[in-house]
Amino acid sequence: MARRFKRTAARTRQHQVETLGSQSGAKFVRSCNTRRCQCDIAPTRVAPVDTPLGLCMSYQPNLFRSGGHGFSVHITLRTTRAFRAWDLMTTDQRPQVISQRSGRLLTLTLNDPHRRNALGTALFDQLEAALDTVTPRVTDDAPSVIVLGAHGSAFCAGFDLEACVQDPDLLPIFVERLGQLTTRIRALPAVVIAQVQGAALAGGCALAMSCDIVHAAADATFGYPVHRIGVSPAVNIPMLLATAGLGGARRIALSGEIIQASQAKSLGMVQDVHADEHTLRSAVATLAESLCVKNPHALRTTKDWLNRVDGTDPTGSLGSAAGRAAQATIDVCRTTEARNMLESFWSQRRSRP
Amino acid sequence: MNERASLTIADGCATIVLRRGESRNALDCDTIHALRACIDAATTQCNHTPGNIRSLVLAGEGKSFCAGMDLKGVLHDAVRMGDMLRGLSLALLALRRLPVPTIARVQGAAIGGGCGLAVVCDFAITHPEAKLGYPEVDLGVCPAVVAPWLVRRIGAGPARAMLLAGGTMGGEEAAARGLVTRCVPAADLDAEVAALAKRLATGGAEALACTKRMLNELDGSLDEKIAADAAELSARVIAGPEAQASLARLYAPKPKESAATNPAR
Repeated sequence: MARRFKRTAARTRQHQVETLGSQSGAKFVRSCNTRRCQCDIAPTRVAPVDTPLGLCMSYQPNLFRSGGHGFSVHITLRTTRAFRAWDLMTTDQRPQVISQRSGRLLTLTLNDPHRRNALGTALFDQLEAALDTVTPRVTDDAPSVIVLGAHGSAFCAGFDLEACVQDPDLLPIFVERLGQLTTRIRALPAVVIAQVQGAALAGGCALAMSCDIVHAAADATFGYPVHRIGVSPAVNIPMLLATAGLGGARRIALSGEIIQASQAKSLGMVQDVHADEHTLRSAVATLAESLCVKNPHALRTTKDWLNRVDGTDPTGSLGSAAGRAAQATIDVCRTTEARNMLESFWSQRRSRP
Repeated sequence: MNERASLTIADGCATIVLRRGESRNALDCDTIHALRACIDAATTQCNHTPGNIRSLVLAGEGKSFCAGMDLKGVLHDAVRMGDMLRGLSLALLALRRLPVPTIARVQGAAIGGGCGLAVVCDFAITHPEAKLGYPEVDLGVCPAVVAPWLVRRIGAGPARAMLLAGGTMGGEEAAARGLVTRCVPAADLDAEVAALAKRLATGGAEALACTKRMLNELDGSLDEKIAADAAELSARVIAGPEAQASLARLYAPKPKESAATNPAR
C-alpha cells in the first residue's frame, strides 16, 4: 500500500503535494501548492476538507475520479462522503477558518483562497469562534501553541473591500473587530506563530503583527497600503510600534509601502524568512513542536511578561492606546472622502482585466 | 574586594572579573553580591574622580563568561531565592547606570542570567564557538529579569521569538541577531576587547556619560519598578511545582559535570 502511494505521489509531483501519514489505514494528501500548480486541474478545484476524521485534506476531484491515479483505493467511505459534501457546498458555506487540534497545538488556517483570505464577516466570526476554544486558564490539555496560517497564494490581503463597498457601514465594524481581534491574539495564553506566504497586507499585516513569532516565505509581503482607499492604519500602529520600533513603524505606516519579507525581517517584523512555502511549513511545524513540549505555564508567564515589557498589555503604553487607535481609524473610515476613495479604488480594480 | 569578583583599574580602563571559574562563573548569592560590590565601587570612583575610569570591561575567568544563575543552594528557600533574583536584577540596573561605556568579553558560555549580563553592557564581543541564549522556558522558568534588557537591545519582536523559543545559539548567530555587537575569532578576543576599551577611553568622559544617560532614559533602562517586578515574577515561577521539578532534575547529582554548568533562570 505504501509503495503504491509513493508511486502516486511521484506521479502528481507537479502538484507539489504534501502527504500526511496514514490514519485508519488510509493515506491522505494534505495540501497542494495550488499557486504553482501547473497541471490541468484548476486551483479552484483543490479544496481543503475538514473531514470526519478531523484531517485537513486537499481534494482534487479530477484526480480522485479518474481512478487511474490510485487515490480512490486509499480513501475510505467516510472521507468520500466528506468530499461529496464539500463538493455540494457553495463557496459561502465552506469553512473560512479550519481549526485543527493536535495535543497542545492548535492550527488555524484561513481558508478563503479565492478572495485571498480577505477579512469579512464570516472570517471574523469563525476566527473568533476558533479562539473561543482557547481558555484563559492554563490547563494540561489546553492549547499552548497556535499556528495561524492560510491556504492559497496569500496569507490575508486585508479587509473584504467588496463587502465594504456594498455596505459602507461594514468598514468601521471591520476596523473595530480587527482591533479587538489583534488585542485578543496578543493576550491569548498561548504562543501564536504566524505562518505567512504571499501577501499579508493591511488587516492581514495587522493579524501577523499581533502574533508572537512571525515566519514568512521569501515571497511574503507586508505593509499597510490603505491610504489609497482613504483609510488610516492607525488601528494597528500600537502593535506595529512594538515589533518594528519607532523608526520602522513610522516608515511603514506613513508611506503605505509594501515591503518584502527580507526587509520586514530587518525591521524586526518577521523573525525568519524561508526560501519557499514548503520549507516555511516545515520550519513552523518544527518550531511549534518544540514549543509544545515546553511547560505551558512558563510560556504563558513569559508571554505575559513580554507584553508588559513592550507595553502591549492592556495597561501598557501601547495596549492602553489600542482603543483610541481603533476609534481614530473608525472616524477616518466614516468620512465621505474615505467612502469615495474606496468606491473609486474598487471600480478601478474591477475594471482591470 | 571579595574573591568572587574583582575590580581592577589600569590606564582609565576598569575591569570587573567574575572569579568562580570552577563553576563556569555561575551566579550564586556570593557572586552576585561581589559583582554588585564591584559595580558600586566603580560607580563611586566614576562619581568622585571623574576621568579616572573611562571604560569598563566585564569578563569571567576560566573557560566561560557566565553559565547563568546557580539556584542549587536556594531552590527550596523562597526568601533567599527572591533576594538573589532581586540582587541580580538590581546589579543589572547598576551596571546599566554606570556612567562609562561597558564591554562584555564573552567567552565559552553566556546563558540565561549570564547572557543577561552581556546584553546589559553597551558592547559585547564574543567568538564563534561561544554558546549564548536564554533556555529558561525549556526548564519551565520565566526569563523575566533579563527580558526587559533583551527587548531594549534587539527590539520587542525579535526578543519575543528568542525568549519564547528558548534554546541557545553560537557566537556568529548571536552577532547576526544583535545579541552581541561583534563576533571575532577566539584568539583575537582579548585584543579586540582591549582595543575597543582603549578607543572608548579616549572619548570625552562627560560626553560619553551624558550620551549614556540620555540613552538609558529614552529606552526605559532606569525603570526600577520593572526590575523589581521582574525579580518577583521570576521567583514566583521558580517556586512553582513544575519549575521545581525540572530544576530538581537539573541539579540532581550527575556522575561527572558540576551541577552549576547548567543554567537556570
